[in-house]
Amino acid sequence: MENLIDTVMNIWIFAFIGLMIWLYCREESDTEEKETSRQPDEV
Amino acid sequence: MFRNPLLVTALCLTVAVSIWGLMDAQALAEFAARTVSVILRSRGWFIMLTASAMLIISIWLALSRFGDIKLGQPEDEPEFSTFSGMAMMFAAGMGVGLLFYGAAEPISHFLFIQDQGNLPVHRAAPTALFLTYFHWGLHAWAIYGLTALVIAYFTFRRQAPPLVSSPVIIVFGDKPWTRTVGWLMDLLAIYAIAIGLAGSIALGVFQVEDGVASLFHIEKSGMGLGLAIFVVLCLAYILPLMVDLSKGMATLSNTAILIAISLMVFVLLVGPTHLFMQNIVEGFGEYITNVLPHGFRTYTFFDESVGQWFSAWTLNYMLWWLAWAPFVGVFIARISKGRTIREFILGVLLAPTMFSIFWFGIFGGMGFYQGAANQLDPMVVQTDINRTTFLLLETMPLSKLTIAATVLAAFLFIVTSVVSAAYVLAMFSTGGDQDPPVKVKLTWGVILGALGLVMILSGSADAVRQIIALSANPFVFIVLFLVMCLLKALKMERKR
Repeated sequence: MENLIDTVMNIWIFAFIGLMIWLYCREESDTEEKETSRQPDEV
Repeated sequence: MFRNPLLVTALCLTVAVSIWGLMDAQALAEFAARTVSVILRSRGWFIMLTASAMLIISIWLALSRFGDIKLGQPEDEPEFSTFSGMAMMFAAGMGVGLLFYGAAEPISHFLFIQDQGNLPVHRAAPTALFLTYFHWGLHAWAIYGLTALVIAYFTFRRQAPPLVSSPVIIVFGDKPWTRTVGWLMDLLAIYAIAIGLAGSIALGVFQVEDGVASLFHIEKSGMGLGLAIFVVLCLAYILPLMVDLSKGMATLSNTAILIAISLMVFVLLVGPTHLFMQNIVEGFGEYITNVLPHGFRTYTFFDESVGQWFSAWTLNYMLWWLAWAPFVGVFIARISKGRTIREFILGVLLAPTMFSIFWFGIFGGMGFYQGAANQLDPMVVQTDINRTTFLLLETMPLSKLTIAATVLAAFLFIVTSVVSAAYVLAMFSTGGDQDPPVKVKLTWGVILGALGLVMILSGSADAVRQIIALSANPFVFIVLFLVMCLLKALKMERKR
C-alpha cells in the first residue's frame, strides 16, 4: 500500500512537470494576451 | 459579502479546520503529522528541486537582460525607502521565527550531529550553523522573492489585480479553464496564508508566554498564561483592522526590526565579539561554498534518523516558506514598484540572507559559547525549546531589559503580521480590491484568531509546524505554475 501511494504521488509530479513544459512551449495567440493586459511601451 | 463564492468557500474551509482543532486539537495535529510524513517521504526530492530551481531561476533572471525590465511604468518611482521596505519584508517574512529559533536551531542541529557521532565539536558547530543558514538563507528568499516578482510583474507592469490567479489569466487568456484554475489557486493561497499565519501567532504566543514567565518568575502551569496573552494579542490587532494604518504598520514593523537589531548588536558587543565574528566569517565561507550543492541534497543513503531530521527541519522549512510566499510576496511586491528586476532580486536575496547570517552567527554562537561554559544547558532545545532565547539572555547582563525587549519585539511582529495578513486575505477574497471592506478584514481577523487558538491548543511548536506543512503542500505546485507564467510572459514580451 505504501508503495502504491508513493507511486501515485510521484506520477502526479511527473504529470505536473510535463504539463508545465507543455504550457510553456505552447504558442498562445497574441491577440488574446493583448486583450487581457496592458503593457508599458518601454522596456 | 456572502455573495462572493471564493470568500464563502475559503471561510468554510478555514472555519472547518478551526472547529476540528477546537474540538480535538491533538487529533488534528496527529492527522497532520501522519499525512505530512507520507507527503515528505514521497515528494521530498521534488520540494528540494523546487527550492533550488527557484534560486537558480532568480539568479538567472537577475543576470540576464530581463534584469533591466522595470517593475512598473517608466515614470514609476519606489514607494518606500529601502530600509522601510526591508524592515516590512523581514517583519512579514521571518519576524517571530528569528526570535524563536535564533539560538535554539543551531543548538538543536549541533546536538543531532553530536548524537550521530559523525563529526568532532570543531566541525559539528560550523555544520550546525551552515544548516541553519541554509534554512533561513538564499533558498527561503528565492521562494519569497520569485513569488513576489510574479505578483509585482503582473500587477505593476501588466496592470492586473494583485491576485495569485492573475498571471494565469493574463498569460493564457480569460477562458473557462484559466478561470477555474485561477479560482482554485486563489482559494488555496487564502487557505495556506490563514494556516501559516495562525502558526506564526501560536509560535509568537509561545515565545511571549515564556518571556513573561521569565520576567515575572511565573511558574507555567496549563495554558492559562498563553491564553491570557492570546486575548491581549486579539485586542491589540482588532483596532488597527478597523482603520487604515498602512503607514502605522510600517512604523510598527520598523520598531520591531530596530529592537531586534539592537538585541543582536547588544549580544555581539557584550558577548565574546571576536568569537562571533570568527563564527560569522567561517560560516559565511562555508555557506557560499556549499549552498548550491546542498540545495540538491536529499540524504538518500543515510539511516532513518537522518531522514526524519531532514523531514522535520529542511523539508518543513521549505514548505513553510512556500506557504508564506503569497502573503510575503504581496508585501515584497509593494516595495518593488519602480525598481528593475535585477535590483529587486539582488535586494531580496542578498540583504536578508546577510542579516540571517549575522543573526544566527551571533545568537547561535552565543548558545555554543554559553553551552561550552556550562552557563546554558543545550538540552533545553529538546525539553523546552520556547525558552532557549530567554535562558540565553539570562546568562548576560541587563537580562530583564533584553527579555522585555524580546517580548515586545515578538508581540509587535505578531500584531503587524496578523493585521497585514488580514488585509491580504481580505484583498485576495474580494477579487483584488486594494481597499477591502472593514467587515471582511475583521472577519479574517477573527478567523485568524480562531485558527491561532487551535494551534496554541495543539500545545507544541512541532505540531504547529506539521499543520502548516500540510496546508502548504499544494503551494509547491502553485508557485511553480506562477513562475512558469512569468517566464512565458517574459518570453512573449521579448518577442514583441
